Amino acid sequence: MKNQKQLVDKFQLEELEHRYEMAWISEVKLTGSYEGQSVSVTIPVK
Amino acid sequence: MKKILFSFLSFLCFLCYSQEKEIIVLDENTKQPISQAHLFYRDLNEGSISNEEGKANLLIKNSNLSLLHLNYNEKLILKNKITELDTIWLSQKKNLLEEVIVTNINIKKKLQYVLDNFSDLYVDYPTKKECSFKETFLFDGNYKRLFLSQILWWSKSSEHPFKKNYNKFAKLKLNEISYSKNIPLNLDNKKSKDEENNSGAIISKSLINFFYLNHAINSLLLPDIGEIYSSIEESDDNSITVSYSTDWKINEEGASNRNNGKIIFDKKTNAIISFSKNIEFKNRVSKEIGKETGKTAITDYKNNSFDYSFAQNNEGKWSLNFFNTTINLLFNYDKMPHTIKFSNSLYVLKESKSKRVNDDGLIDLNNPIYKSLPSQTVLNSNNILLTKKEKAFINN
Repeated sequence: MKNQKQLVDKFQLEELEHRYEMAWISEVKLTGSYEGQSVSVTIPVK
Repeated sequence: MKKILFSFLSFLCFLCYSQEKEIIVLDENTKQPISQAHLFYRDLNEGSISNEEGKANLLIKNSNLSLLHLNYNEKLILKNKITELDTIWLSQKKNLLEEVIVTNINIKKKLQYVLDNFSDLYVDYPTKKECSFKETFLFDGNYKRLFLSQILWWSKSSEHPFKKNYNKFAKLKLNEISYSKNIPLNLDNKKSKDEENNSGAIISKSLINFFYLNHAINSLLLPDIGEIYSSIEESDDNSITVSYSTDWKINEEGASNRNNGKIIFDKKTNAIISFSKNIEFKNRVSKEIGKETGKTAITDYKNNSFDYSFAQNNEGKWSLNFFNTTINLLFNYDKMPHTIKFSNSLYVLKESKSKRVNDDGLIDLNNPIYKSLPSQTVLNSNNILLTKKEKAFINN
């Protein structure tokens, strides 16, 4: 049972990672998000 | 004994130094310096690139040297003549445009062809590239940061796989630092210890994606970009230069942008051998209020340019030899407007096949690259030479 639970957890984690990756690809590759079009900058203020 | 040792060490230094040579590349008609000329030992897949003053540091190798520039005829210098060189004169390519019938060009189709045939046109195997990387940061027109360092860029292929986890397809390792100077921004005129390591920069993770041409082409073919207007500017025996522009497009957040630039295609392979893109922005604004000071900072993006150029290796595959991105911003801090300009350049000096590299000295791309630099410079020379203005900033 423990192994089965581990497998389910692993599957869920991989599935989540896959969805996250696909969402990022869609955002960058298929839409006009700035992440796909230009660099971004950081200017820290106090 | 000390004198003999000193003389011997001096001689050794001289021998080492004599293995490299400063060369200036000039236009044979205008006598003006030529920047971004690629001094390339094609057999060895290595070389150097001239700076804005046409100057380059060249390692002397036992191999014929090719002088490459997109607007100039290629010049071959035989290996036994390299040591005699100080100045190299290049002649401009002849524009054949008036002599040929110009037909309309379908730029989207040509870009799509490059994407569809990317692995045939460009290096499609894992490589390690020995590069010089230069970052400049100007605040109100004055240098605040300049560093030039040797970077090793390992990449699984020339093609960006559109994976978020960049570690699986690209690694950047820091080698010697040639020059490094960082003046803290000090916006509130209060000196504190953490100021020096808390300055502006291009976000590294957003930068690395743009080292890949297919990523940049993809950004031009996004559905939101709309029509691309293009015209052929020049045509010579080997290449065709196309200029392009797009309309202003507004996004969901109310910000607008439009693109323009130039692309040079190789006539034989239809590969892109030079790609430039400039994105102009309207209302791309971010606002932040300082937690300690309560002061308001508004960052207003103005434009972001990208330049790529490629060289063909002895296997007939094209590979990146120069990349630059420059971003201009208006930064309004406590109701005071300032101009900001960040520029990052990557010069590929040597490329070799390499299935993998270890993780020693990896740059943490979660932080700006300048934060990975050691405080002391290791080396005081580089194949890429600084301009007079840049040297003045480093030395003062």
